[in-house]
Amino acid sequence: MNTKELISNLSVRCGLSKTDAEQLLETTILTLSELLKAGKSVSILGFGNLEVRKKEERLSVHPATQVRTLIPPKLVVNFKQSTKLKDKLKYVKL
Amino acid sequence: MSKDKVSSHEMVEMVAAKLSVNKSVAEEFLKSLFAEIEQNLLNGEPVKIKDLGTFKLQWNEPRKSVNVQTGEVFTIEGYNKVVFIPEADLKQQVNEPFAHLEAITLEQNTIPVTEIEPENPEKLDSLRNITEQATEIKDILLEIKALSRQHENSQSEHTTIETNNEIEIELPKPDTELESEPAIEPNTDTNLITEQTQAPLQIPDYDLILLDEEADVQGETTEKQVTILAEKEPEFATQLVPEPTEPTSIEPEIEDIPETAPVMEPQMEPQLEYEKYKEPEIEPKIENQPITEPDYDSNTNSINDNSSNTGHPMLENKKTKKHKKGKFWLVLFIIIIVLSGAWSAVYFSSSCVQCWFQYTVMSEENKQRVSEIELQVGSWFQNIFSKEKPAAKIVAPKTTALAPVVKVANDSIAADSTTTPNSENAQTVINEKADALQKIFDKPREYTKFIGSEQVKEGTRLMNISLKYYKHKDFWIYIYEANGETIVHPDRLKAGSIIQIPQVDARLINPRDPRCIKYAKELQKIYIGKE
Repeated sequence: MNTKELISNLSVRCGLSKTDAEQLLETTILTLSELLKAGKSVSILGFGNLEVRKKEERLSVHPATQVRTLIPPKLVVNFKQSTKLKDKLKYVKL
Repeated sequence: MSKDKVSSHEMVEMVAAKLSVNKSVAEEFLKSLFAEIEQNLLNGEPVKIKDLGTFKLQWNEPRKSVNVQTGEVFTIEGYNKVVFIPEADLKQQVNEPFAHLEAITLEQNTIPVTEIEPENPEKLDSLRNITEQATEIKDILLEIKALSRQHENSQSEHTTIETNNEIEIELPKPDTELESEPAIEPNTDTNLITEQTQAPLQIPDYDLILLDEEADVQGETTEKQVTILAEKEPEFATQLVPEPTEPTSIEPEIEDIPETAPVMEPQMEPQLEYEKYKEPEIEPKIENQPITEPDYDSNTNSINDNSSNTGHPMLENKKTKKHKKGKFWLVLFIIIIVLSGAWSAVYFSSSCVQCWFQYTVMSEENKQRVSEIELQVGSWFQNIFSKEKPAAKIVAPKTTALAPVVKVANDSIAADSTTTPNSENAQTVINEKADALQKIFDKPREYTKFIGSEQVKEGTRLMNISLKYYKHKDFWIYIYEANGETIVHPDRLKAGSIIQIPQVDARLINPRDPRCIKYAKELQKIYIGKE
């Protein structure tokens, strides 16, 4: 499902116009990314946690050429599902 | 907002505040949003949200595990996991504090070459020169061989004159020694005839020569004791007795002449090699041409010295006997040996021209060729240096020119190795094309227009500003250049100060052109290196 489908579905659910739903979604995404940029973790009730994690620097060795590379530390967005969601997804067959 | 964790409730408030809508609307929307995502995930469908990322399901296989306390083996059941893959944009935004960092390849036991290059370009220069000289000398040798057949007679006369001149220059000693030369010459003339007769017999004489050499070696080892060797040639000692020092130096020469002739010829090629390894030293100072030429003269003299070395032991024996007073005499003695060696070379070249005129022709030709090449190389370097005048406005570091110089010099040398004029022209045309960008690099940068300004906060980095305005972090150097007065060091920005973002030529800050990035990095090394 892509953003367009999501917007149309949401407008139906909440009884909003598509433009309003789009605007709301945009601001939500903006606030989310702003919060993440600031290094904050966002917890969504019944869904999960979106948080920023720091990956430490590490030394990688290319298996074929044996070239050793020092990879710098970086910040990564990580999502952890809530246990509720996990239980719900238990019976989903892919 | 001070805490790290933001609950969904707080987020609803933020969204409502931003859009100035009722909280309940926002809350309902957010709830339904995540419910919708959940629904899709339950259907096994991934949800892709623009500017945020993708939520999708991942099946984790069941696996065996051990209960730590009881040691029981049990299986963890397989489960679905929601995975969030952020979009590249969000990824970059989140990683901004570490955006300036780069992966570094660590080479085993060695420092990366790129780091060495700017530090000692002279060293690399000399190395390059050696290989380049080798190819040049090869060409020269081939030409000389062809030419030597043509100029046999004329060159032989030439060389005798020249060598005479050399010796006159080399004799800064008292007049007595200079006077001694004419006195001895008549004698040598008589020997000349004998030697010319000996000349064809050189090869059969080899055994004798070897014997002589062995004797000489012995003489060298037992310097003080040997009186026998001195007595071996009483004829020569008695022939010339007018002066106390000079005759001794001349006598062995006469005796050694058959010996030197075969020695000289094998020496020729090593000597040429020696010359070519010497050239790198000379090249950096090509501009002072006169200095280099005497060098080659001295090289030829050194050959002569080598030839006279075979005659040394005899001299040494006699000398040490006469003067055991101190180092002063030893020094004087060495000088006399050198002089006598040089003299013997003159004498020898005049007498045995026929035997090894080829050598003299070669050395003569060589000098000419080498000086020609030096002139050529000198002119190239002058051109290059005039082209590569430091470009930066604020600081004009000479080193900016260095790395490009090496490149261009290499190109010109590649052209030289072919030595045909056509190929040289072609090479220069290619250089001009490639250097269209180089010209932009070399043009002095002046910052008059500014596209914005940035206030320095805690943790602000020039790289991040560069990434924001120029789309590449390596172009921060231009910001630093433009703000030379406000920024003391690129790593130590003063919080609160305002940095002007200059407008830079778009061709100079093309993030897709590796040359632009390379040049920016070179500049960085120059600026960081100087402090």
